[in-house]
Amino acid sequence: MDQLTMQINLFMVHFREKGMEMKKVKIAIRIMLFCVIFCVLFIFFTEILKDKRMEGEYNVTTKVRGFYQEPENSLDFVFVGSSQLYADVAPAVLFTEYGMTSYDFAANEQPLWITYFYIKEALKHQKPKAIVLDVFTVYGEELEAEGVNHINLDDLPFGKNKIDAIKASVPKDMQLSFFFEMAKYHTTWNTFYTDKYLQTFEYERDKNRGYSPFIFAREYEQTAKDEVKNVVDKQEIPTRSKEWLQKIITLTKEEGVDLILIKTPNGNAERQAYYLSVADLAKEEGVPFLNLNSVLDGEAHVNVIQAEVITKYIGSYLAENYSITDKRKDPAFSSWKTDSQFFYRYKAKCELISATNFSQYVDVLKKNHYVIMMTGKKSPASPLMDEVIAKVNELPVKCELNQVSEVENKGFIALVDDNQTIFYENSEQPMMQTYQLDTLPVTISYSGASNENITSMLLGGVEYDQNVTGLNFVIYDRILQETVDMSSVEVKDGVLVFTRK
Amino acid sequence: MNMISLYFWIFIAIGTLIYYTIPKKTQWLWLLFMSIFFYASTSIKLSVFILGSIVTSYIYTRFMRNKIGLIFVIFGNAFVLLFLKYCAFGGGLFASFIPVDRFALLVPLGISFYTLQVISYCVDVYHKKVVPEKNIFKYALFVSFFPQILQGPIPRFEQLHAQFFKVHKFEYEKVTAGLQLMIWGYFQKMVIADRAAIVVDRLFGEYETYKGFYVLLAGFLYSIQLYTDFAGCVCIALGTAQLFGITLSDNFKHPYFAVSVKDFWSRWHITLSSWLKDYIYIPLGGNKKGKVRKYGNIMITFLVSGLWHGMGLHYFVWGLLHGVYQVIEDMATPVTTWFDQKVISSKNSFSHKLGKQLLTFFCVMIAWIFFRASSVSMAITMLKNMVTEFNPYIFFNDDLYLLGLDDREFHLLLISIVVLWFVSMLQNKYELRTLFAKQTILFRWIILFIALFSIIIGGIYGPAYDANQFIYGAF
Repeated sequence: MDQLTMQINLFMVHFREKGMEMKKVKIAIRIMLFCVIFCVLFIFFTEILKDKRMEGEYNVTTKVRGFYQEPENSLDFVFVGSSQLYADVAPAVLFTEYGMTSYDFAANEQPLWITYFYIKEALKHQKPKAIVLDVFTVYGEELEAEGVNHINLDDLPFGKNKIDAIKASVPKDMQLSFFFEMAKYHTTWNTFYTDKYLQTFEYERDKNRGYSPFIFAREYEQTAKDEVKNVVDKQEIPTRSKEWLQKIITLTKEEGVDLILIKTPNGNAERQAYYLSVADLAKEEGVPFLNLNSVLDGEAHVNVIQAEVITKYIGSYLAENYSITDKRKDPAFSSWKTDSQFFYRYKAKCELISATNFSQYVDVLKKNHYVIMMTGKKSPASPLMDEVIAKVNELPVKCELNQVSEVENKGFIALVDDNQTIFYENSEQPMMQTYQLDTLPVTISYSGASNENITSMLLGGVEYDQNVTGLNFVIYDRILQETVDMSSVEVKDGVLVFTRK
Repeated sequence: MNMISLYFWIFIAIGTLIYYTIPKKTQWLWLLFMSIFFYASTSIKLSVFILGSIVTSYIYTRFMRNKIGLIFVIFGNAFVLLFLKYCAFGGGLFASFIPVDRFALLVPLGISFYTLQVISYCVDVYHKKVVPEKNIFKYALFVSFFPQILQGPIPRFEQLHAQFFKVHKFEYEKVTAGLQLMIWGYFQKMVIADRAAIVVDRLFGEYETYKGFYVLLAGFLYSIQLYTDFAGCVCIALGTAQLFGITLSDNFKHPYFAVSVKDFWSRWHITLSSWLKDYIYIPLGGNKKGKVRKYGNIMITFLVSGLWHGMGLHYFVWGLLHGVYQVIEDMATPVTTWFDQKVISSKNSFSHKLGKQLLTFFCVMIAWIFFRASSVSMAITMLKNMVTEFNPYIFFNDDLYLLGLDDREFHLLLISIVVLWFVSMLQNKYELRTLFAKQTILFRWIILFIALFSIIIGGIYGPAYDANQFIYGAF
């Protein structure tokens, strides 16, 4: 009996101990599960609240995320540097002209101590023929401002390179908000909007391959400005930049990838002094350096038209020095062909807004495959000049607003799509035509001479017509899917007035 | 080391882990090490003051237990406290007598709190209420225990000391309850107090511009700010101590639910109030030597309280006001009792209680304006401005959103205050932590994650904003 009691007691002790162990395991699982859920939520909220730069020319998030969407080892060249690089070098041009694939893996005001880690990241995913480094920020000695560092570092995927980049570029007491971006961005709940939420999950190919189109009117000279060309005094490269430039040279040598230094033209004579020192360093290290600042005209961020000139120059150098398989007809690179069209549409837009007179304007319209919507009306007091009508009629329409008529007022409506006439009408009576522009319904109308004499161009229900007594134009780009320009031409006090909006 | 820094959390996490893995007999030594590390991390040089307090009071309680020794140790410690505070507050009341520049020193961390702790210990030893600790290291732990060194609560030897030397096994429920308390503390401090501080700083900073209801708003928000800042910090301290199996006294019992100023002081900064009662009010004679002496003792006690908070005249006036409130309350008791019995038939009704609560809150709020203002004249100007302009429309247009918080931020502040009020109501009626522990794990975790991410997302911290030090750290 005693033995039985003892055995029961022993069993109970064992059972209790087992129970205790189970409880400990349960607690451990509970703690771990809590921590895992916390981490998942923390990362989720951080990603949602983090600043995303996905719009406009300075869309670094789009560029950096886009880089990681490129198929592994698919790029012939990787361009690195600052905004001057991504404003001046268009991978679309290199593809269209030379069949090369490339990417502008760059960010605003990027110092060389961050570029070093961008190169490391690039080489993790790509085996390019060469890394092409724009040396704009070679003048840098001090660490960059907090904002610049965030722009450059936030979008890099978390890993050793990002950690090292933070350590190299951010003062110690500020590093925490770079490792835990929530510390910096938690206050953005205050300005939160739905698009920002959606952008969190937008990991797509960048159709511009890191390039930013700057669209503005500007005429560049054929060569670099004299004040840049005439700089002879060199400015020594500051220690920190020099140290990291040398590290970049060593890194690329170790990785067995060519390094090409370039300076896209920025027209800056002061900085040219640094580039002369870079030339010396490059010579010492046996690295090629294309200082386009002494060759071509430019500025901090050149427009699309000049970007094409610069890119072609760089492209011809690369084509001469590297044997590249032409990928233009390779079906594996069909997306490049589609995406490259965008560059040429930006260029067309840039040309359009660069046109200084009506005649040039119509010439640009003729060659650039736009959807052109037109309305017009005349009054006997200010008839349109014959040469204006003649120019308009170079587009496949027939405008008759210069013809003498018995009625006081007369209207004109027309639509041309990719140099094809869709419709045109001249009448003093009310007129209305509709057209389906992809998903966008277009309605062009004239109210009639005796009924308020109003013209109208509705795109997706929005009025674009400037309703001048003369001709009104609305120009739509099917590839960019946007209204790229609105203009009007009229005669005021016997003078032709061409207005852009 | 700031209690709202990552370093503090790492310090606590590592500290707790080691605490429960080392031999149980050495746990108190680990706590002492943590306390020394915590204190010295702020300033090693200033640690000399706390060391001085520990050594002098230890010598007194071990070897010089007489009246002269007691006077020496009390006045010595009090002198150091007042002198350093005098320097820190730029001379305050006595600026014209002694030039402050000659003694420009920093105030050592928590000096106001540990000085009271040391004095009460010495007095209790003198009166043989407690047996003096023989081991100076064990005594040092009592004085320097890190969770309460910053802003209290002010512990008593008999309540705290023995706890350090018990065996503390890891108890999941206790540790999680401690963490929950810390989360509630962080919510109060980072979401409410620091957010309210932005508006309060604007309204007090430009007090000549803001009139009428703006002053009322300033008083209201400062009352909330001060409470959530202090109570939040105490919750963090209590929760931290609980992680190590140590129970500290609570310092607050929903003070803004008080129905009289006397009631308020039994709910606000309870450990200070009871210290003042035991070591100032009662030794002066308390209420046992007639009405006049009683009122005099109340006034002296509150003036000492004012002086303890700071050397400026406005702290003095704040203490004076509270003294006067209590004297008036006491003198008016027969009248209010008669009024309650004869005029108000339903004296236990909700509305009657609410009326008293609102009146008490208003009186306390007026006193807080003196407390927060940088001078008495500033406080008087604010109070004058409160009645010279009638601008209730500020609550109905967008003017409030121009005080440093935009509409979304302001709404978050208001929602947080409602949450505070709701939780306080529940705490007032139920043992909320026990009630919470009884809920399903899913419910508890949802609440905890909501609370955690409210702090992480809605808290005021990080490089965009330099989170304020806890207000009471300066006292």
